[in-house]
Amino acid sequence: MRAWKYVLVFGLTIFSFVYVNANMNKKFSYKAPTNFVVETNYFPSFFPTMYNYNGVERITVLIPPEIKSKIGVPKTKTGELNPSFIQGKLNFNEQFGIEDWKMDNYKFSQTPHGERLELVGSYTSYAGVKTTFIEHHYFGKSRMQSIQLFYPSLAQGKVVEQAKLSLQTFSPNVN
Amino acid sequence: MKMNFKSLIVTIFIIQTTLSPFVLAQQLPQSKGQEGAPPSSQATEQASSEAQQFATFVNSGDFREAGSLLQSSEKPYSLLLATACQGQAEYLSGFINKVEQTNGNGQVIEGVTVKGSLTEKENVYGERNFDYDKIQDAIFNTEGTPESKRCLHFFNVAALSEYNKYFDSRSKDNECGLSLDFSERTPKLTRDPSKKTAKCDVDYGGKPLYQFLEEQMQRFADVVEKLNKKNDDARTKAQAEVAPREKTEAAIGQCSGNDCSPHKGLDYPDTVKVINKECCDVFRDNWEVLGFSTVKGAKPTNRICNDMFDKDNDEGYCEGRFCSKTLGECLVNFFGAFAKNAYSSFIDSFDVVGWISQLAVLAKEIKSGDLYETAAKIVKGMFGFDEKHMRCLNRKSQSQYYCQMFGKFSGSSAGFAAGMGGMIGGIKGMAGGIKTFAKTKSLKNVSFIKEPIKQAVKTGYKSAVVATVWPYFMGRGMMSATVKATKTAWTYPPYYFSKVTGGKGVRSVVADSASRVASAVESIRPGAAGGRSAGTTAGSGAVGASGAGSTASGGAASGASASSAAPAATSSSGSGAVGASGAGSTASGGAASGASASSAAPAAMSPTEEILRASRIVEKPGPIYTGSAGKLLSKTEQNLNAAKAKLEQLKQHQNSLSEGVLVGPNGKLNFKNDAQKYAEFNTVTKQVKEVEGFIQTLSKQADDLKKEIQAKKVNNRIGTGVGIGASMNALPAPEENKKDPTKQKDDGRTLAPATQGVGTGLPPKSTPNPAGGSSAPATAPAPEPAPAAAGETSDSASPSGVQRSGDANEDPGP
Repeated sequence: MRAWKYVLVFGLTIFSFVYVNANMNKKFSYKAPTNFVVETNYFPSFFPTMYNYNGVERITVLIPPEIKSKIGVPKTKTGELNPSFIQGKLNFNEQFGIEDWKMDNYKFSQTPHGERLELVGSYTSYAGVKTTFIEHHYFGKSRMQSIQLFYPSLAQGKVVEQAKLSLQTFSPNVN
Repeated sequence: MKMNFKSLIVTIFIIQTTLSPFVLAQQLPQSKGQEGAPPSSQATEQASSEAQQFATFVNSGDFREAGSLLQSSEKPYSLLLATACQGQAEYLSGFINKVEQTNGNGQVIEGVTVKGSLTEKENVYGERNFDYDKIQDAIFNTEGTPESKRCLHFFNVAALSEYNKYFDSRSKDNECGLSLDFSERTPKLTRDPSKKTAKCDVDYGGKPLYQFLEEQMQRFADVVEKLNKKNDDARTKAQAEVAPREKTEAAIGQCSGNDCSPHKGLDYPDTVKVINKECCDVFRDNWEVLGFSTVKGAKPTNRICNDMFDKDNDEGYCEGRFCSKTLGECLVNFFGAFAKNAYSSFIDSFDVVGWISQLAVLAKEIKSGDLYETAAKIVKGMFGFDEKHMRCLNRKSQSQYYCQMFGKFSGSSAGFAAGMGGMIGGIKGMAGGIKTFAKTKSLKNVSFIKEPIKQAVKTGYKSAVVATVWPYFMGRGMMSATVKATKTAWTYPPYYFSKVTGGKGVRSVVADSASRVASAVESIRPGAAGGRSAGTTAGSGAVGASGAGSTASGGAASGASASSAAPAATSSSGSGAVGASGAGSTASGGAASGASASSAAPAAMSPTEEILRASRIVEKPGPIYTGSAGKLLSKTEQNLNAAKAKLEQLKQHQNSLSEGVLVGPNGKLNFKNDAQKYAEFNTVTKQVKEVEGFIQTLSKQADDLKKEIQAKKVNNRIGTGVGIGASMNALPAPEENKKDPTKQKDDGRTLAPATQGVGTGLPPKSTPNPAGGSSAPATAPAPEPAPAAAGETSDSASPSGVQRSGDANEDPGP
């Protein structure tokens, strides 16, 4: 009889992990490309979730936890990107030694998941590799959710294109 | 003679080439400890030493600046003679060859030789023919003063620059298509046939001009290559010189500033000490700013410095997988703390949003990059802790520092101790810190710690520190104090009573044996009693067991000074007791007074002392000691009986003296005719009063003891609690008795290092003091610890190692 108790506790524990994991996937609704492996993360609300390409090139899709933010979209009245937003990034880069960061392009677009800000640029990683980033930030009324893709700037081909396309499958619920 | 872009590049190249041995020589601290370097020639060895000597005299910045100046000047040699080479015109002229005069076609004019002048036709390239081999030989293979070496190096730069310009201009003027490529370390002669014309095919000295220039330029490239090789040899030798740990002056290159004379002639261990001391001085001056402690005035001891800087102390702590794992955990915790606090609702501006959005980049780099590289970038970026400082630290300390700084900023004590808590304060601190960070646009002109950190401290970081440190010390104090208090209470239930003498409150003690007091004196040294170091776990044990708020070092100080019969010693013992609960200097004063008083005891014993001696008690009432209840009570009653007997004896003597003496009208005895008898009577009368007072004290003591026996269990429980609190005010134990906190158990893992953790041993000022003893008045009848307990528990005190300025430790600092 005593053994059943242990089995029960064990089962509940397993169920909890599975439940959390399932919720995590459900919450993000992100479909990673093939050959991308997701890192175990049972607390996606606190830690970023990473999908890494299972190949030679270091291609990473990172989904940070959502942010509670009511200040809206970082857009000026004329529809341009708010300079403060970039300044905050630049400050971060300087403080953490992220070098050669530059933004090549940005774009605002309306999606079913809130207004999206798309940033494309590059920086030099700590390992000295020029890395391209593509950021998608979704702004809702009270929340903000992001997904970011990092890949070596020299990387090309099908895998990179698939990774770029996969960002479109991200459908956060920020409204 | 304008300087074009190419010339600038070439100059920079030459300067860098010439400079390289000095830069490398300055990096010697990193290469220290290497072994098995190949032997080098005597010449190279000397060159290395010279290079290092030069490195101590001129820094790279000065050198580059001077080189640029020479390059841009139309009269570089005049400039040199006016600055770095004053009075050395003749010496430098010796490096100019005397050559045969040639005409415009390169044909030798027989019988005519010329020697270029340094200062004549200075702006005409090729007017001088330099002996580069001789210059290099002078630089690397001859002895000379730092000034002369400095001059030679500058001169070499000017000479090389001149001939590069000369060949370049001639190639262009004659359309030869020849040039020197300086893109790599060794210049390479490049030929561009498309730029070559027939103009370059003219005869020059019996051969085509093209061939002549080609040979000359190749020779020039060879000269530079040879210079590079000598630099490499010098570097190799310089590194190898330090490795065998022989008597060397190689370490001179490690010193800061221009004055390195104290390093000369030192053996390797001494040299290391000097270097460590220099590093220690740098860190000591900025100990608090660098974030090693939050306590104002806290300074590292020499031992801490040695642990941090000595590369020999690296072994066994942070190697291989464990090290990476530890550092990795620190980084992940660091990010996690950011994330946990960042993704909340404090965002009020877009720069904060932008700042937080970059956290993903940091997360990616932490996960995928080299851990040390990543950590170094973060530490340097956030705290301005650059290579200059990091170079002082050994590998172990580097890891600890990374971990510490990450942990500190994220509101967790230090990676390992992150679980101790601090998140409540941490959230507040982080929120303020992130806001400040995100809004801080410029981080320039911050020397050691970057402005955002300072701002973060103002905006809530302190609360994070308090919340972080407090659980840590509470946990540590509870563990050690409970064990000690229980152990002590089990063995030596302490009792106390007070005695009022002459209207002055003095703590009283009943010592159960002279040996215990003696052991207390032995256990107390100025260093040990200086601060809470000795009183930490000693307090947790002895004080905890005694059941009231005082600490051990003060009590022990009282015990030490108790052997003095002088009233001054008694009062200082009281101050020592109080000081021990909060101010170490006072406690050490108490100890010192005891030490001196014991040697200055008067030869004649008072009746009280006779009583105490008779019952094997060596002290006057005043200080404190502990013992079992039964033994103490029986001894007290034994003393009481002895005192009563003595009183009876004295009274009998007093009566005998008064016999036959006239009684005056005022009722007093009149010894007019016998002054000696009068004096003796007065003495006995005083003794009677003293013994009567002592009997009164002993009676009260016996009563207290009986009461204490009844309340024994209760008191012990209270004492345990108070002892826990007292131990939380821990400062490091004396070095002789303290275990090395970085040493670990048999499994090879390590404990939190000495420098790890916010506060590093001292709670911040805002941390509540649970001991309650620090503010107790001197006259309060507080119990004090057993000397034996103080002695035996001092080895388990706080592992901090940081001491307060002004404490009586070995290295008080400014």
